[in-house]
Amino acid sequence: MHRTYSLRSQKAPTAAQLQSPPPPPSSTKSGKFFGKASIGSSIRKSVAGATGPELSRKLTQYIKMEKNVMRAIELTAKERREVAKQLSAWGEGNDDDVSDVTDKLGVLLYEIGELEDQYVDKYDQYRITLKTIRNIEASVQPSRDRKQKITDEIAHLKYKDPQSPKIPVLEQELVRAEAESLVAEAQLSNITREQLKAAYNYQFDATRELAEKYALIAGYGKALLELLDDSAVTPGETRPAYDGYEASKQIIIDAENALATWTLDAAAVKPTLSLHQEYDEEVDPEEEEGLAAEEEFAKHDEDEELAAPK
Amino acid sequence: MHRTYSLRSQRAPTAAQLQSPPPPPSSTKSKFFGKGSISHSFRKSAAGALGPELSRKLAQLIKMEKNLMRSIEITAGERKEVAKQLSLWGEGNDDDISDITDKLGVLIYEVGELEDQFIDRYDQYRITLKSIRDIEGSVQPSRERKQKITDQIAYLKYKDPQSPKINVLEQELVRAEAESLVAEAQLSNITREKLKTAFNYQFDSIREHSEKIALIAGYGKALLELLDESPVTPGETRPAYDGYEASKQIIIDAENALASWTFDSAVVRPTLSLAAHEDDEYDVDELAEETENLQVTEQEWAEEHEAKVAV
Repeated sequence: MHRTYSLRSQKAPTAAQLQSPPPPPSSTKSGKFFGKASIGSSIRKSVAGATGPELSRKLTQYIKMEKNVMRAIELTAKERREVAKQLSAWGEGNDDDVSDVTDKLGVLLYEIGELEDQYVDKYDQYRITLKTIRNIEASVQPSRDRKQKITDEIAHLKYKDPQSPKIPVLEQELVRAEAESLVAEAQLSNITREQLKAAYNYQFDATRELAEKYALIAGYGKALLELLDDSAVTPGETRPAYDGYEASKQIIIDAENALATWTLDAAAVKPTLSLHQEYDEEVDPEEEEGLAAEEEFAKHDEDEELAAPK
Repeated sequence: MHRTYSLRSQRAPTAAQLQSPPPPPSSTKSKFFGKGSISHSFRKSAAGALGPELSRKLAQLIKMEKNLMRSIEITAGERKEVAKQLSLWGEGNDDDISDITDKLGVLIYEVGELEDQFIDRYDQYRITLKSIRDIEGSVQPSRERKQKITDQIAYLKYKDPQSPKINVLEQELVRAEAESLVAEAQLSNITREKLKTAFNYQFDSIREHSEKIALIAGYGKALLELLDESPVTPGETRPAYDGYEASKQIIIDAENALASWTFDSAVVRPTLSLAAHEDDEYDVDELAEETENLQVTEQEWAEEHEAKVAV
């Protein structure tokens, strides 16, 4: 993690990194020759926002870059499904137990690919929400430009021809432009925050869902592996017959049910927050009414403090 | 999920798919040039085109896993760039947006880093699969040799039944069969052992990775709480932002959570019907009817079995 807690300054090594040595870097990592991103994504990134209002340029570029992320995830999802099918195809030519277990593992891995595909669709909704911010940024630019232009004209005239009748007219125009600008700025301020919050809440919820489902699938995968008997046979000895067909099918059914019934309310992973420690304490049902009421008021006050700093 | 519970037959729609309509397919999904990159297609078709037939499918799988890892690598790279761009955009905004987007950027960047670490572990899994492929590759010659000798004997028996070569070849066949038995046993053992090890490692790294991602998303949501989205009327100034300490604390909490995460603290656990079913089978009344020795044996076996099935 960035020790300076900002992406705008240098990164320091974390305690974790100094402590437990990670595995060696993967042998597959590309980027030695042609760079890490594809040509398409590089072009997309540099072209984005090269035209258009300056105010919305950075956000436009951001939105295009998110498209790159989505394309990458899409590709990953497809590769995963292919891998799943290949695993099953390989296992089919093996003994019964390996054949069955790899086929079921393939079903689980294929499902990961499907989940990633669905995640990409949700990611797009988040991206589209960001576009509303970009659009209003773009529309505020002309308003600012106009105000500036009128101000410049007035200054020019005051220097060149202070008695000009045009000045009062322009000054009135400036007042109207300023009013419009105030409204535009307020809209920008409100919509930016509102849409940013909505977009990222949606995104993080989608991410939580995907992550928890990953973890569930991995758990069911490990259960499947238990069905594989890896005790050594001596040469010439026949392995005991495999009878895990019912069990493996049941594991898949369980996995399917778990994924189908998962909801955000049932999310297991919860962050530990120092600031909200008080909220995590369970309310003792035997507590007196007075104490309970006091706690409610206290929570309400802290809520207000954190949510709307005045 | 595949209703037929097999990837080798046709798929039926699931109840979930019939029930809740998913969002429309993303506008970004590539329509024209095919979904994979050119290099991935080459790698896949070239893989295992040479080499022993026995190990061809697995060799292809291993190459395909390499494709997958490259894709994840690209995703990780893009994510890190996105994180920095978010922070950059926010910097030009008001204080609260500037601070929150910067911290969000830190979290998203961390996701990219985690993906990078995940790839390194994925490679270990892949390398373990290679040992199965290698032994498949080495068993092939053994099988071929046995076949060759058998064919030679059959040929000689037809052509020249009295040939002294037949005895020699038959002895050779016995030796080849012995070697083959050992090779097959090795293949059988190593396939299962490595398959289990590889996938256990794989699933463990998926569990770790996904739990950490879920944590980060949770901390991200906490950050968003600091953003005051109540509308201001034109001309009104927004209240000053004072969430700097809070946002920094959230990042510190996130960092601690990630650093201290272990498998023991993993919260996502699968619900398994079979484990529950095993419990039902061992009714206390039934056990009470049996002799003491049998009781002990049954319980021991039950515990062993539960330990095997439970995750």
